[in-house]
Amino acid sequence: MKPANSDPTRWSCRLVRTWRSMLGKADENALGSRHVASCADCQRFFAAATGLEAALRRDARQNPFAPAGLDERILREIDRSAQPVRPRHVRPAMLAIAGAAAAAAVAFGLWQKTNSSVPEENGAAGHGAVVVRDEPTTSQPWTALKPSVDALMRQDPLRTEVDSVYADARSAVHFLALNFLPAPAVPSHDGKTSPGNPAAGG
Amino acid sequence: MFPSAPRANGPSTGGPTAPSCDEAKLVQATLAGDRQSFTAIVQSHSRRVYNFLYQLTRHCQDAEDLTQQTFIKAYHHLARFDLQRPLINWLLTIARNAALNHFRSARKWTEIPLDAAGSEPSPASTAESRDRAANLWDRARAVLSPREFEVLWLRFAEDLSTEETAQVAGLTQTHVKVLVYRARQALLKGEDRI
Repeated sequence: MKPANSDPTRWSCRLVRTWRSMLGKADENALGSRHVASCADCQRFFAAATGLEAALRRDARQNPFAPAGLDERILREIDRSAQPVRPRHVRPAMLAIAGAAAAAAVAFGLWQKTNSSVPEENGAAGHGAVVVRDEPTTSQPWTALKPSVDALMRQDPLRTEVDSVYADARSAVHFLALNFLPAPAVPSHDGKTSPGNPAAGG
Repeated sequence: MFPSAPRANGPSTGGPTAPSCDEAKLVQATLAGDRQSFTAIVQSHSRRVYNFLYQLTRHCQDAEDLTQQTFIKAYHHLARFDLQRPLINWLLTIARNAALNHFRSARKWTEIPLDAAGSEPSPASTAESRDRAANLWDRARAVLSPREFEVLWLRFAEDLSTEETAQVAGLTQTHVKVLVYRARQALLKGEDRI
């Protein structure tokens, strides 16, 4: 029995055929062209391969038509599947959740306001004293925390917050102006101006 | 007659095909709301998509249903289409995925003929194959595995390049070349295997 690699020509033919098939036609001329030019077997092989590809292309065109009316049916199905763009509807569940969240936020705000008013009511405690409430918050009746419509109308939380921010900003600007800006010139008794104390300037 | 659309580069030799400028305009017009543009797209490509799906399923009604699914998906996801690529490649990719989903259903698998499933042909089907071996594709279906057949169809019937075939089939280019090489070898000596 002959070993598999006893025929160098056969081995090189297989190598060239595989290699050229892997590279594709674009590189056909680069590799193995000398071998193919001198090898009748390889020439027959590549001719058969080329013929096979041409036959595959040719026979693909012999396949049956698509069924009549296919395009119309496709377009009809597309029409059926195309839903008109509807405006976004808020689900009732989402509305309920949003309402509950808003109520909880208002209740929390009122509870905080109630807490912050305690030191003012308890004047004996003094500024900065820690006030311990006698009753826990949870014991406070819910009706006391529940805001009325009138209260909400009077106490717009957003307006209150904006006012607070505005007041803080004004305080900060005032502080900066007081400490870092030169004070307006103060006329002295002899008619000259001298820089005054900015803090005294107001 | 299979209406193979003319390719910009003629028979492909490995490189990707340049996308048609008109095709890109049709896609953009469809995205802008022009319904007639998508009608033109359907009329241009429905037969190729149908034939590809028919080759995969060997079932007329399934192929038509899958063709409809393909174009419906394409219509609703047209914004994702890369205008730099030929539209038919994208459509064939969608069609292939639709066919795979179709095949994943166990019930659907039973509808696939044996020769399409790549099993060993029975003596009766062998005789039938001999009768219809005039068409190479029938012979290819009898000889090749489904994946080899699919790649061979994309490569030569659809005339896609190796790169495009790899994109549609979800394979590497090397894998496509190997499959085409094996398929060609099998078909060249197909007489022995039928």
